[in-house]
Amino acid sequence: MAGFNTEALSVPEDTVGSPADPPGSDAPLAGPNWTALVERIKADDQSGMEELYRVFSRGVRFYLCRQLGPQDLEDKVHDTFLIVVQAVRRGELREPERLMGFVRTVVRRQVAGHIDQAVHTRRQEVGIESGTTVVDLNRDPEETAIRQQHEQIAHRVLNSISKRDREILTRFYLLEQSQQQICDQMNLTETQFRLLKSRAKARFGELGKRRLARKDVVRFG
Amino acid sequence: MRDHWEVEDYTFVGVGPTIGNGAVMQLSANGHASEESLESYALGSLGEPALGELEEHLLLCSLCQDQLKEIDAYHAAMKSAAARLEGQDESRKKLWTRVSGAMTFRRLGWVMGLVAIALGGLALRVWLTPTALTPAVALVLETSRGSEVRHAPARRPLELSLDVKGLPAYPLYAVETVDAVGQVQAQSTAAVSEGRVKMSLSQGLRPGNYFARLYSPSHELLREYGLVID
Repeated sequence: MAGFNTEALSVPEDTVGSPADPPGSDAPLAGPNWTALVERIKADDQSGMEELYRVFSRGVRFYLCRQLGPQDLEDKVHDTFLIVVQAVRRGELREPERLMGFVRTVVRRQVAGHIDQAVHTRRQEVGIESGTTVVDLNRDPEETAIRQQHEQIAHRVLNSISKRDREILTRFYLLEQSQQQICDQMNLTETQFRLLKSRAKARFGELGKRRLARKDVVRFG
Repeated sequence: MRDHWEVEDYTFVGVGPTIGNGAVMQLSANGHASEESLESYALGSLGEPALGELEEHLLLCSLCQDQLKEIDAYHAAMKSAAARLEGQDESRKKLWTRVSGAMTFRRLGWVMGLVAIALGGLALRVWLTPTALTPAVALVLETSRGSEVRHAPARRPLELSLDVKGLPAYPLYAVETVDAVGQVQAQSTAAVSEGRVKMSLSQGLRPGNYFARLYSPSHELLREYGLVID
């Protein structure tokens, strides 16, 4: 990142990939005292930066991976971290208690920037076979296999229900119609709609478990 | 730098409306994002400010991140499977449209007419060739003194038994049937069985006078039998 003193902002290796949540806790977290943390970062306190990285790196990684795929993920997380820290140091964060809101804004801008860049690159490089940068959104083979299995199970679920129920789920998942729209057009109550969705999901889970159990039997049989 | 994080290090997110204009991020009782709001988020239908609240929560909460991953995977699977089924339905519909489009009332009439003609032709053929359906007529042909010329109906399968008494014995005899002008109607070879040589005429014969001729293996005429088809 141009303009950033990356040496001063380097992240200690032991902090990379650490969970934001305390281990063994299901409690929802709002993070540490953000105001104090912001003050520590402003004061060039290395532990403050480490703490910030520890708290949000997993969440930022998750957000960026979900939106942009796994390519260059670590670089993107690192860039985001640098932007946040630099902005905090420059005093651009007016409400320190809203640090996570600021982080979210930065991440969203990063995503928008990457998408813009990808669109621009694609437009510029249409027809040029050599030197084209293609973002690889594909997961590894294991994930691809899992995705295929999920699709097969979903296919079974959709095949096992009535035509009308299938149409409802198709409208929701494929055509992305809203619940309200579907209920109005298919003459359904919200409860009926929710029930159908949850039953399909339960069946999906059940079939998935069965398949997993069968595989275990084959593996150990 | 601390190695372990304790629950006390964090403040807990409350339940219910937390943002000025009263919009609610649907948190469940345990303070995590509700399945419904995660689903709306996954479908991209969650609006601000609930969207902001949820995303901020997701930046910190690994449990909700995992749940969202599962929801994303489920949605992707359902979407993909639904698309596949829709595609199959679509191609089935297209095929049916093509078939029904080709089958207009007029064309259907033509097809029915052709089927009727074909069935009529088949019936006519069966009627004209009764030999296949009717039982064969068995005739014993003899040439002894006083024996009469045998009669048989036309177009009926015939089972001819030629009497070979008094003829030299051969392992096989050649047999042929000729009409009144000597034109061969059928030929075969047969061995003697119970003092007779048998010959089958599955197609039968047209009305007229015929002769069944018996030959030795060296094609020497041994005997001739008369036959009248009525």
